[in-house]
Amino acid sequence: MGYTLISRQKVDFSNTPQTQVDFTLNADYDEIFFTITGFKSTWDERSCGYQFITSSAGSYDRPIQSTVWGQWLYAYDYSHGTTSYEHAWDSDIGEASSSSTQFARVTMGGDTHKMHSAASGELVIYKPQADNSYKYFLSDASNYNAHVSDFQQYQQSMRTAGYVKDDAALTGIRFVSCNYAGDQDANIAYVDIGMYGLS
Amino acid sequence: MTLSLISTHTGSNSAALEVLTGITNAYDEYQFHFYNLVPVNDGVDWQFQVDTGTNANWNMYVTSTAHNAWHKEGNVSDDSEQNDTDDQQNADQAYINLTGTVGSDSYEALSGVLALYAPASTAFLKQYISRCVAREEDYARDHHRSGMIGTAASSAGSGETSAITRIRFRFESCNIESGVIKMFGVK
Repeated sequence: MGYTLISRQKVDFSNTPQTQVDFTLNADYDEIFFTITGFKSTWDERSCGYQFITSSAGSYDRPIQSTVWGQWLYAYDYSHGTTSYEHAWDSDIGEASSSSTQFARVTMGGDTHKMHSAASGELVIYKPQADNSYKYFLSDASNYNAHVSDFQQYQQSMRTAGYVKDDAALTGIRFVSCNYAGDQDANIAYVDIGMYGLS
Repeated sequence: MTLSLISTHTGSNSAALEVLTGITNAYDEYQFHFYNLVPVNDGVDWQFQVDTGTNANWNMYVTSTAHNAWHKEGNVSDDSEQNDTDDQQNADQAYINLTGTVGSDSYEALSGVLALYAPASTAFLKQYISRCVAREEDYARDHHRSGMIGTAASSAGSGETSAITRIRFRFESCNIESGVIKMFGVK
């Protein structure tokens, strides 16, 4: 059986911005695959953040360890950096216990100055129901930042790999708007998230 | 994109997991999904090789690139790099490292995917892309690989004449304690 659409949630500009988008994780699949399309916050320079919950945990605050690498390019003059580690967007297991660093980031920051600025990507979680392993995940995201000035238009890619350091089954995931440190703030102005299962 | 499950392979103190049938010209792409694979010993590489069925020596000619990124718990260490230890050149004919070291401590494992393109082609080198996540010694590790596989040495200049029909996965120097590989055909 190939990918099966489990559910889809959309926050649209025509609706009230949402503080979060929650999904219940299905235990019937070997991997859960999320497509995250067109994320845009109500505030400037915000990322699409995520966190997990288990049946024994009281909130979305599981310890996450992740590594992040990526590239960027300025559309104005095609200048770019080298492929490098992205220190600002990784997560350490100690950060989930503080609300100011609680959420891991699947995308880099987005801007509100230009309508066409947005972030999209994919997140896959392997065996979220396993109770004999940490939960491993990979993500790949693209972000187009658009500040006020024309020379401040740039494209970023961000690849993340990591694990949730919890041997209890993951039962839910929450997507939010957060700052670069992982502090949930502002609201989600637009995002279209599809959750697929593969077995 | 539609994935069709072709076969499932479960490790249980296994020396290797071999897919000996099902790789044909029926699909343009085959994906191998890895679920929580654990080595018996700590700190070993996850590897693969292929063959044509007539050559059963698991020693095809591979040219590959490797990129790793890592982050240790406690923010002790992090970085990313092009890694020349895990890449390979045409003459090596060795198993290809899909990861750096993978841990065997409690709850450690690797997961990820390998995509193999057009293995039945007799005209082109067979290309692959892989990405795996693993934990070892408190590190989150990201392993990105890509490469091309020849069934003859490129120096021969004779082009590619053989289809790849089999694939073999193993840990570098120990058995597979547990874990599952699923092979999908992609259309």
